[in-house]
Amino acid sequence: MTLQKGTADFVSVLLITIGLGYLFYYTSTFPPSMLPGYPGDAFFPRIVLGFSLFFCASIIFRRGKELFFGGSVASGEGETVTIDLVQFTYIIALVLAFIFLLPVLGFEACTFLFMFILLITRWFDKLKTRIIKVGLLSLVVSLFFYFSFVILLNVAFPVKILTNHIEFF
Amino acid sequence: MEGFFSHIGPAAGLVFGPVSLVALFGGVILGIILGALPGFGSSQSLALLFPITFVMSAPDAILFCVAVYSAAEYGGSIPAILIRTPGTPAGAVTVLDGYTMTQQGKALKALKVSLFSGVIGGLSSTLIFIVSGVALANIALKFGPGEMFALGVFGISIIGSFFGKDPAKGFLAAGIGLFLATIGSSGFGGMRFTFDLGPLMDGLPLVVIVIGLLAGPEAFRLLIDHRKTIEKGQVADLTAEKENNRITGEEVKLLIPTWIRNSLIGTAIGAIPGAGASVGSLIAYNEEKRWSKRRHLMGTGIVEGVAAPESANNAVVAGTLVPSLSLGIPGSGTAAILIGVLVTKGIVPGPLLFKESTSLVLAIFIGLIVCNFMLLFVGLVGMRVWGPIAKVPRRILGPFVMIMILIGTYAYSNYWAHVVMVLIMSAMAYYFEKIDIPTVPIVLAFVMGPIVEGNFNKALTIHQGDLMAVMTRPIAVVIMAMAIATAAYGFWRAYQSKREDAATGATLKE
Repeated sequence: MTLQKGTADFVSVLLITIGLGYLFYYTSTFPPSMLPGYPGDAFFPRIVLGFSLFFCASIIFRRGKELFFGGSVASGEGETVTIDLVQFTYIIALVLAFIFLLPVLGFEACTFLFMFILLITRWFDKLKTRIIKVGLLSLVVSLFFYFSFVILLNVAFPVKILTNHIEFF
Repeated sequence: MEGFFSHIGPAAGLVFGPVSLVALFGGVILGIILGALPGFGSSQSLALLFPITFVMSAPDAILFCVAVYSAAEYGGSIPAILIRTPGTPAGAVTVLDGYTMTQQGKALKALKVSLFSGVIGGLSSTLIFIVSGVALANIALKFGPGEMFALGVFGISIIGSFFGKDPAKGFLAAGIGLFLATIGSSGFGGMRFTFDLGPLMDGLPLVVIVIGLLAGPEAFRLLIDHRKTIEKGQVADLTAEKENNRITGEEVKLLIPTWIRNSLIGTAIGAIPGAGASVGSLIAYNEEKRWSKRRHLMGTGIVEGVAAPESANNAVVAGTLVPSLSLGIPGSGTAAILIGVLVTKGIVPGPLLFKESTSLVLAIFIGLIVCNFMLLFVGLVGMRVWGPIAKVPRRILGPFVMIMILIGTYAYSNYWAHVVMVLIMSAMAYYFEKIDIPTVPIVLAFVMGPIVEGNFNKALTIHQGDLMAVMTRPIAVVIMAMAIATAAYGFWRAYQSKREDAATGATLKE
């Protein structure tokens, strides 16, 4: 996905403004200060959100002027914002799959699969060599994280293949 | 703070304990390795290693962090010198003379100059840190909540003005950071912005913000933008170099003024919130071009060209600690993580830290000295080993960084909601960086948010809710005026830069 930087700026900040505006409105649901005249729950958030909305408005005004009235566009003229949406979504899906499959497959298998799937497309070798190299590397990385976090740092990951406790002495 | 230095014994005890020494040594090695990875700065390195500090005591954790910070600044020069790819933004200037020296067959010499300069810069700024930190904390001890609130506003104005190209976006980012800090308990008995969601009830943990906004976007960049990057740079064969790698006595004579000058520059730049190591090394290189005896040879592969930015960017480390520890204002993303480590261990940075946790402050001081000597040792011993690390392709790094982020975040409190939060933050930060909304101010403002709000509320309560009484106290007025002047200067500078860009564009079109 490729967008003109000016348009991307304008739309993104507009969406941020709508979000912050809603949050500002939401502060009206906070309980009032227990002592009149003293700060309450909503006092500081309103200052912060008002402050942010002011700068949002200034960016929207400048960008809007450039986009709709052809003002000075020196800062973003011809610049584009490119995001590989397929890869972006793929990475997010993979991370979510890692999180949700962890209790089912266990820490060791999930780490191995996560590394393997990501590395296999980034290794430039013949397929057979690539599978062997990436498989070995993924195995080493999985074991490294297992020993570092499960054994040494004692983090309670759901382990299914290896033990979560090793006595050295 | 009479008798400040009488705590030197207990402080030395904290540093020279076996666990602390292992933390320092491990920090130095990990810092060099991560700093040497192309594109990895000190803040990303520290964000990635943040989870390791959970199992450490407060002194060990902070010593580990300063060791990683110092070592990563040196590590950044390795790929800059060997493969013309700076590991940290601060290493960008080192490329000019460092890589030229490599092309001349003097890569090992360039690495030695970089190491010695970094260590000298680090040691001299450490001495300045302890003197100026104590002095600043002494002054700040006289401040009440109103003045501390004004100081927080001043910090926010610096953060907003000088991070990124557009101050309006810098301030917007700072506003977002301050907002994120208000999620959770209000401190008045109520809950804010939790929307009845369980994971938000305790607020956003700092680890989520630090990892999500500093390390996360780097992982996305490595996984998406560098998916097909094939590095063309060849790493110099350091084992083949024998003749050109000695630093001569004459060169040392030339380097002494360079080291002194740029250590001072680095420390001063480090103490200014928002400037950081990249600005420090750039200014140092420019000043070297002005004052060096061989200024006409700068850029042609001379030792001063490597020594100037490297002594400055390592001097920034201790310089950054001055406002961070004595005032609680983090000067950079890395300093925000250091403050975060202290806060998660129940220690509040600020002037009282120098009074109430004197041993800890002195332990940091001694730790910085020890870590610089360790850096010298590890740097010299491993000099020929760093080349292959710098050669690791970026496209291969992405999966490692991402899995480290996921596992590290989970390790914080064994809670998957935090990992999901990090994923959301990382994706958001990746997009923000594409549209030039800087993410470092979000982290800095998030760290400062509770301090600013707490002092503001305290000041209002003391003055019975009278806002004018808070804002018109003499010192607060001066600090507020400085904040307004800083913001105005930031906008003026951006306007000038935009005009210059427009003029350059018009000339090019003609």
